[in-house]
Amino acid sequence: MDLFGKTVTQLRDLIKNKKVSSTEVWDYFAKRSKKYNKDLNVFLAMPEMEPDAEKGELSGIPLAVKDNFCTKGVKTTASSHVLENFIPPYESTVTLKLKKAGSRLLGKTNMDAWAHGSSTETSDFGPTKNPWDTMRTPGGSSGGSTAAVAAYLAPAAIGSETAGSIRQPASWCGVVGLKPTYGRVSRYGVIAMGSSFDCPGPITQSVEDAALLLQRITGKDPYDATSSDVPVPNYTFEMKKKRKFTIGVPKEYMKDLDPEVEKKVREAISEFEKMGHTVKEVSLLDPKYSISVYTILQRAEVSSNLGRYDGVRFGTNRDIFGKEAKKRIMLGTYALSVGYYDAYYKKAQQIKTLIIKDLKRVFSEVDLIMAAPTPTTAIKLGEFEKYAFFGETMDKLNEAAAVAGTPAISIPCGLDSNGLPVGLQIMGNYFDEGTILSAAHQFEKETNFFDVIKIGREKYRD
Amino acid sequence: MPKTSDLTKKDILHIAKLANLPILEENIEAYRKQLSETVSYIENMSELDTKGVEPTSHSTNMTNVFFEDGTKNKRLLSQDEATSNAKLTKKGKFAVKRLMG
Repeated sequence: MDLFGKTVTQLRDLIKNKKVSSTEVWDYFAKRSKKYNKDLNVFLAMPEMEPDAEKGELSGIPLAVKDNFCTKGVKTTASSHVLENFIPPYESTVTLKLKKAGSRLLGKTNMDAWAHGSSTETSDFGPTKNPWDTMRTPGGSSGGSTAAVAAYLAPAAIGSETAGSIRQPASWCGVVGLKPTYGRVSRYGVIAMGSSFDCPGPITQSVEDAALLLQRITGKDPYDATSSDVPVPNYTFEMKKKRKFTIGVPKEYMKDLDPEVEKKVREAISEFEKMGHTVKEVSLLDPKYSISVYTILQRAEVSSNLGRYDGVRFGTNRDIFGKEAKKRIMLGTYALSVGYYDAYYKKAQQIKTLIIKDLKRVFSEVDLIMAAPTPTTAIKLGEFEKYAFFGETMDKLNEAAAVAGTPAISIPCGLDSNGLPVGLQIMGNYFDEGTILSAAHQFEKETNFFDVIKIGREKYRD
Repeated sequence: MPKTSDLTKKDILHIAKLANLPILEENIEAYRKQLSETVSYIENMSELDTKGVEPTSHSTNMTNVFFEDGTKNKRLLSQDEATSNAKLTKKGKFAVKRLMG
């Protein structure tokens, strides 16, 4: 049977109805992954098939997982030489939940080292290539995971986002990437970057798959005190509801965009209008403030989180950290040091309060906010290095939701004149992933994402 | 708010020391320049009035999260597991440099 392009939902049904065995599915993806990994540099580790997978909703589904999720017995590096020999003695909650649902770990995917970056170029193991154009970056930091899905080396993947690390590479690789509400998904066993931001999420070929995977990984976890006990709805049910929404388009998020990105995003928003949703312009705080707040708080948390790497319990000595990590540790240390704490850290936390209030105000008027996830389509490898602050600029449209901890998705909405995918970002209110999924699903039903996902993987058919 | 020009070579060396981070002499100037750029960018925070605004640490404002009795024990690692990634161990314990003379 030709499995090419089958979604997780389709594969699950094929396995359940015994049209294909889980071993055949594994072999299919293992073979593809090995074949294309040379060109794309997606996987850092590809374990052998675990023979006795558990039975559950994801029985026999191989998944790619970002290399910052601890996987017991499988090397986990966060793409840093510091952890190049680290074999976790325990499993992250997210990967444990996926295992218990019957899925198998296909491989650990490349990322920016410690998730510090937006292109996978800070990986100590070389950058991942964008499957659409291997001269370009897939985005990051979950670039390995999004490239794996775009080239169909895996039917779906797990990524993590601190600010944009799911949405931005999903947009540049032309796949679906969902960042849930902060605390909706446990961070236990995820190598910490910015603990008040970090959020695991699914990267998929369809909205239905995003709902399916989100369902499996959410929920209160006793091992992550910041995980939320807000009840988890049935996301597939929420997704299928055909509700009409009021959609806000923040004018501050539609400026300084590449004209082609702006055009595609506006066209996508008018699709929603055609479908009977109400669209109105809204106003949010200028995203430049989110960049500053994010930069301070995240660097501060990085300096604290990476403090544990002293070469005593695991990892190497601190001199092995790459330049980007060192830069972030130093800025964070500076922001937290005597005399600067109030001016930087406290000020940033106060503006975080303003950003939350600002979003809540807009969400009292609209159900969803739509904007671009990034100002441009995928850029060439090497471009990021030229500009000191380029990564943050590329993520500026993602940072408000990251700072506030609200959920958002990036879905494909067309191609630019270079044939590169453009994403549409849909932001929702706290714990309202269901509404986001419903809107994204309605768009998918109406447009099939203008065949972006299909076109992207076609090059990798054989 | 402190100004960009405040960041000197001395600052970089001080910060690196606080962070217990070995840096090479030849990279100091690059760090100084890049950190200064970042610090000057974030100075835009001073454009916003935050007088009387409460700082937020946890975005959904959770408070008082406790462990159920016994929950914590379920994830205990064995001594072997806990030391399995250490380069230097002695009798099942982490070996570190002498701290006091």
